[in-house]
Order: sequence, then structure tokens, then C-alpha cells
Amino acid sequence: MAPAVERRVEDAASAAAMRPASVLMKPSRLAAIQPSRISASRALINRAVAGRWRITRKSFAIDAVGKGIADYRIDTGTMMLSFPVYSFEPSPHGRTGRIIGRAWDMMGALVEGDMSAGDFETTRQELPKLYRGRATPGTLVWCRSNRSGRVFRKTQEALARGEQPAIGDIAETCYVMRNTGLDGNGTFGTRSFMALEPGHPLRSSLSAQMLCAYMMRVFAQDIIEHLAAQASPGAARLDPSVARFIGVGNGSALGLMFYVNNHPRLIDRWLGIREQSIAHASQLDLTDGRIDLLDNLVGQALHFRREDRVAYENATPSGVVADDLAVIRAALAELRDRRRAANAIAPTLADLPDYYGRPIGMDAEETLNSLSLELVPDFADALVDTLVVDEEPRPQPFMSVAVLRELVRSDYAWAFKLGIDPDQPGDYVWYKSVTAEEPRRGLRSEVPEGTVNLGLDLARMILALDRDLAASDARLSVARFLVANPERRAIVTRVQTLADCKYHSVEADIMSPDFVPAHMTRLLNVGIHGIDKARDFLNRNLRGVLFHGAPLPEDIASGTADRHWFNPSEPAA
Amino acid sequence: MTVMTLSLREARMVLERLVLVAGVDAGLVPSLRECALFSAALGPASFEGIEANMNALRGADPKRLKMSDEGGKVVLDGRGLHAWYGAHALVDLLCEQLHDGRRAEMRVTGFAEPAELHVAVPIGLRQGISVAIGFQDGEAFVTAERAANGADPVMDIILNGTPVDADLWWRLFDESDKALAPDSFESRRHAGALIVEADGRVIGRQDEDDTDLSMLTGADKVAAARENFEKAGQS
Repeated sequence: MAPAVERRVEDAASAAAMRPASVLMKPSRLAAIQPSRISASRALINRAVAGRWRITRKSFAIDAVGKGIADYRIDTGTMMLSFPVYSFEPSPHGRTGRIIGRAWDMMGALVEGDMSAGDFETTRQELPKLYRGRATPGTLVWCRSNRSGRVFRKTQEALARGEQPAIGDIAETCYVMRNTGLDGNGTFGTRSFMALEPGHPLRSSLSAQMLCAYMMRVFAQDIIEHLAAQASPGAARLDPSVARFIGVGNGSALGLMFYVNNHPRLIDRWLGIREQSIAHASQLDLTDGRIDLLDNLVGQALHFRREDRVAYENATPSGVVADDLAVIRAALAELRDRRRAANAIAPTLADLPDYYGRPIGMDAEETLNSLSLELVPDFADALVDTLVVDEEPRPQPFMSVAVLRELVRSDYAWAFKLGIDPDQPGDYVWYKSVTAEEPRRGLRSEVPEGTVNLGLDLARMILALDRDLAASDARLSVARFLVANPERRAIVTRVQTLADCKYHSVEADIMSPDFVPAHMTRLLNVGIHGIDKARDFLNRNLRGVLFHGAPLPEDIASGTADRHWFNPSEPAA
Repeated sequence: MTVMTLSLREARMVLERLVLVAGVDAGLVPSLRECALFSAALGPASFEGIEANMNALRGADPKRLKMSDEGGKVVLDGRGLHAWYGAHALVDLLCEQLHDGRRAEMRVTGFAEPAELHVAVPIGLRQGISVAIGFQDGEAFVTAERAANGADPVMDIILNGTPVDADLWWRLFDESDKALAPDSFESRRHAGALIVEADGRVIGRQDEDDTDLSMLTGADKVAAARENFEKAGQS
């Protein structure tokens, strides 16, 4: 077969192996997706290591209580970026991980180019104003973060004593500072990401926010060493193995449901490239080398889960996931033995579940899926580079009512199975508070009268549209249907815009008491951003760690970073 | 006058909230927001006309819009509706005519603020058609043809932003806040990693949390909440 033909056959086979939306788009399944090399944080590190990006500290003028400024540069080889930091003495007043907080321990910005002194000063004045502030030209992201009180203090005290922090203390959170806000893509006058030029190092989705988060981690480690040194001349520096183990914290909550609703094409594209990559990996002949690689990675993940000290509320305990990963390892071993003994046709990953011996949970399944991408790194990375996604509407007014209805009945079949009445509003309302625009979700009976629902009530919108389509002449154009039914314009446009997408909408009634908001936060935080150890709070908030085990700036610059740095073991005491 | 440059995202966010404040049906919010965007960023009214146009949207029944074929010519009658209520329908019907291989032409009548029908020009460009609008005796005569590739008015705003008088912008920004819910301690229980009830009872785990509890409950309840918080933290 000619290579091009062979490739087309492979592509078709991969497409056939991708899971249907009816399986993947269930909230619990989306919540089980684990970090992988296509998660934004890991993809950023891969790109930085490949390009040997250089991070340098240009200045650091911070006093013994943490007040002052610092200034960093990131040289990607093709672009210089600046990361100015404004650091403050921690205050207990107005302090919270929520967006309504008014006290931050640091604020910073990611700015294109070598920032001028004037822009540095302007940013210092504008950043604290947030919604009333204006970013200087070339600003990509504004950020802010807080120290993790207890772990930060214990780590600083240990370093001041000339010791490394106790791993038990560090492993409580695995971070010393936590991101409390990353704003970009036009907010506060920052650059629109769609305006970033081809070849821009941060052009693919979420790259700019992730670099900003990585720089928060760099600053967090610098300031903790600095404060320890201020307290004691004999202070130690963080051992590199401990420094790599310390990531940067992240808290996320209900706002990510709005993000999912507002970025259906990005969600579809990201899930699509993950499914494509998994399907591609699942069809490879499992040679001894590939089995060994996978076995090592699963073993590393198993160890990581066994060491995990985080107590989860409703998420699967790590011990359960570890037990399931042990089943996968045993199956891999059996597959290798059978392959060697029988000299049979080379098995593939698709054969692996036949050897499990017992059912395993979704978290372990998705861990294996994520790790399988390491079998096809170039394939997956090439797809990540295509994550420049346009969410603009694509109406088709000449489509007939009959075709539109067919689309509605097939692409949204799940909505018809929920048994809901489109005229009866759901129990919950999603809204934003006037204070810091904090996203909230409350019972309809508890929210102030007149509260505007900002949640996408997709199921009811679809059912109402279907009812109106059924009552219309099937030969009518959508253009004419919408003259008679103008209130359906938003949902019709959405359905048409997403007609070529497979994984665009979560299949659930998000207005229902049964819906768990943390499931969507988990999809974004864990799967798409690459956050580890995401603790859940009240089924709606998550706190976890980004860049857990990630290379340090010197590892990136020297090209010596471990390519499988994720799922790190606790450093030796 | 201080001129500031807005990003597409900022402009859309505030304009969408203003449409919500005007109380229009949720299904019309995105399309009316786009009309407002094009009116503000590309004319005809610019940002100075936004408040008046938003007021004209209030209380309207969008189902008043009527379409008829008169001797093969399509007529769109706004029957008193603001022009933005007809702009997308107008473009849709022109697209339909071109798609069917017909001449794209329409008579448009009965709209308030008929000059605002010009927002159909950028809307049309986004759908690949070039719309021309002429007025005679209070009616608009609209024609369209397929547009040359490459013209996207939204991409222009993405790349260059859109200018606005800063004072006017912050006035619109404040007005748009009315689409957001008023804050209260009860409302603050609808988000966050822990809940402080009205009586100071704390719901949720208190490990690794350094929240200033006065933000979640009345000042008089802080002591009770702190006590409960610390008690739970020790257990």
C-alpha cells in the first residue's frame, strides 16, 4: 500500500476507534479524565524543554516581610517575554481563595517583549484596580496568587534553620503559593489570543495562562528562599528534588462551567485530539519496548497514587485508583508473557482489558488512556499545535427545518431521555454576583428576584426548539423559521455552529440538583489544564497542584529535563 | 475626552449585559449583542448611541416581525420594532435567496431607528454576503451579492480593538452591572469551598483554608464561625 493510502486507512481506523459522545460526554466520565501530555501545562513544558527556553531573574527587591518587586524575563528563542511581580506583605483581612478576595500576596503580569520601566510602573498602578484597570500594550495575562499559609510558613522556617522542609508538610498540598486569578484574552485590555500571530510561542489555547502559572511557581520558590535567607544567614536553599516536587496551587470553581458552555469548539477539539491520540496508540503493535514503557509509566502512576496524602470528599480515593492500576500492570505482564510464549500476532492496547480479570474504575481507565499518549508523543504534540480555536457562530439560514430537526434529534438525543419539561425551569440558577463577578449557583427559591440566569440550559432549549420545529413546515428554511420563532435564534445558531463537532456539549441537565458542578471543574482543571491531586470541596470547588514534578528553569534551559517528569515520587527525606 | 481601546471580549461582555438589562428574551441576546457591537464599533450610532438603542429594545415583542412574498419580492415588516430585531432575519433571507440562485433583494419597512439596519452590512459580511441598503420614502431597499473572501469585521476588532470615550465606557460598564446579582451573605453561600450559615455554623472542610470569615457572614457571627471553624479543624 502506498504511504498516503496507508495513512488514510490508519486515520479511518483511528476515527472508528474514537469513543462516541454518548460515552465520553457524560459528566462522570469527563471528570475521570487524567492529566496527559496534551494537558495545557504539560504541553507548555514540552514546548519549553524542546526550545530550551531561558528564564532569568532581572531584579528582585523584596524586603523581609515580602513587600517589593521582582522582574523576570523568558526567552523562548523566538520571543522575549517579561514577568513583572508586585509582592505584598500578607494580610488576614479580605483574604480568601475565592475571587471575591481583596488581599493578595503577589500580583504579576505576562507581557510580550522586554518591558520598559514606564510600563512596569503603569502595571504596578493598574493591576490592583482589576476591573477598573488597563493593561499596557502587549500584556497577555494578569495574575495574582496567595501563599498557602501553613505550608509556606513551615517550609520557610525549615529553610531558615538550614534544613529541607519535611516532606510530610510539603505533601499536604504540594505547593507553597496558590493561583487565585489568571485573566487574559482581552480582559482588562490584554491582547486577544486570536490576535496572536502564527509562530507566536503562546498561540495555542491556554499556553499564555500556563506560562504565567509556571512563573508564579518560579517566584514562589524564589521568595520562600529569599525570606528564609532574610531570617537567617545560614538558611538553606530548596534541594532541586524538593523544588521540582513543589508545584503551584490552583483553586477553581463554578466559573469553569461557564467556560465549558462558552468554548464548545475548544472542548470538542481538545477531547477530539485526545481521542484521536488514544485511538492511534491503541492500534500500535505492542512490542516489548512499548509494553516496557507503558509498564514503567503505569508503575510510576501507581506509586504516585499510593503516596498521595490528599483526602478527597467525593472523588475516587487514590488507594482505589492504585489498586486498579495494579490490575492494569498485571494485565500488561500477562500480555507480554503470552506474546512471547505463543509468538502470536502482536497484541494492541485494545486487547488489554481482556486480561484485567475484574472491572476497573474510570479513573484508572483514563489514567491508562492518558499514559498511552506517551506511545505516540509526536502525533499528539502535532495535534496540540492545532489548538487555535475560533468560537465564532456559523449560521446556515438556508438549511431546511427538516434537516435542522434531524440534527437536533441525533446530536442531542440525550436531552430527550432526561424526561424534563422545557416549560418548567430547573431547580438551580447559575448567576454572577456584582462583587468581583463571582460565579454562583443557588436554588431558584434562594436567589434574589430578578436574578438573571447565565447558565446554558441546553436541554430545555433543545426540547423547546424541537417542539417548534415539529410544528413547522419541514420544507421551510431556517431563515423563515426564525422570522416566526425569533426566540429560538440562539439555540439554532449553536446547533448549526457545532454541527461538525462531536464532543461539544456535556450530556446533562446542569439546572438539576443531581448535577455535580465539580465534574466540569475537574474536566477543565485535571484533564485540560493538567492539575494533580485536585481536592474537592462541597461538590463545587477544587484545589490542586500544577507543574507537580515539573522541570525547574535550569532543567529547561539545559535540555536535561526528564521527559516523564509527571507523577513524581516524594523526594527522599 | 480620553479615548480608550476596548478588546472584542470587553465590548461584547458589557454589550451583552446591557441587552440582558433591557430584558429581552434569552434566545435573542447573542444576536442583539452583535447588533450593538457593530453599531458601536463600526457605526452607524457608535458607542454614543448605545444607551438610546438599548432603551428602544425594552418591552418589545419580537414576534411582531412579519415576512411576506409580494409578487416574488420578499418584504420584511418590523411593525414598529427596533431595527436590530430585524437585522439578522434580513441577512438570513438574503442568504436564502442567494443560496436558491435568486436575486437577493428585499423591501424592508416598519422599523424604528431604520438607520440601524446598517448593522446588516457587517452581519452579512460574516456570512459571506455583501449587503447594500438604500432608503426611499421611509422604506429600505436591500440587495446582496456574494462577498469577496477575507472580509471579517470581527477579526478587525480582534486585531485592533475598538475606541471609545473612557467616561462613556465606564458609565456603560456600571449600567451593565445590573445584569449581575446583588451580593449578600446568603448569596455568598452559593459558591466557595466552605459555607458559613446565618447562625455561624460552618459547613465544609476547614483544612488548608485561610479565609477571612467576616467575608462570609455578618461581623457579629464571626466569633461563632471562628470557634466552629477551629473546633472542626482540630477534630
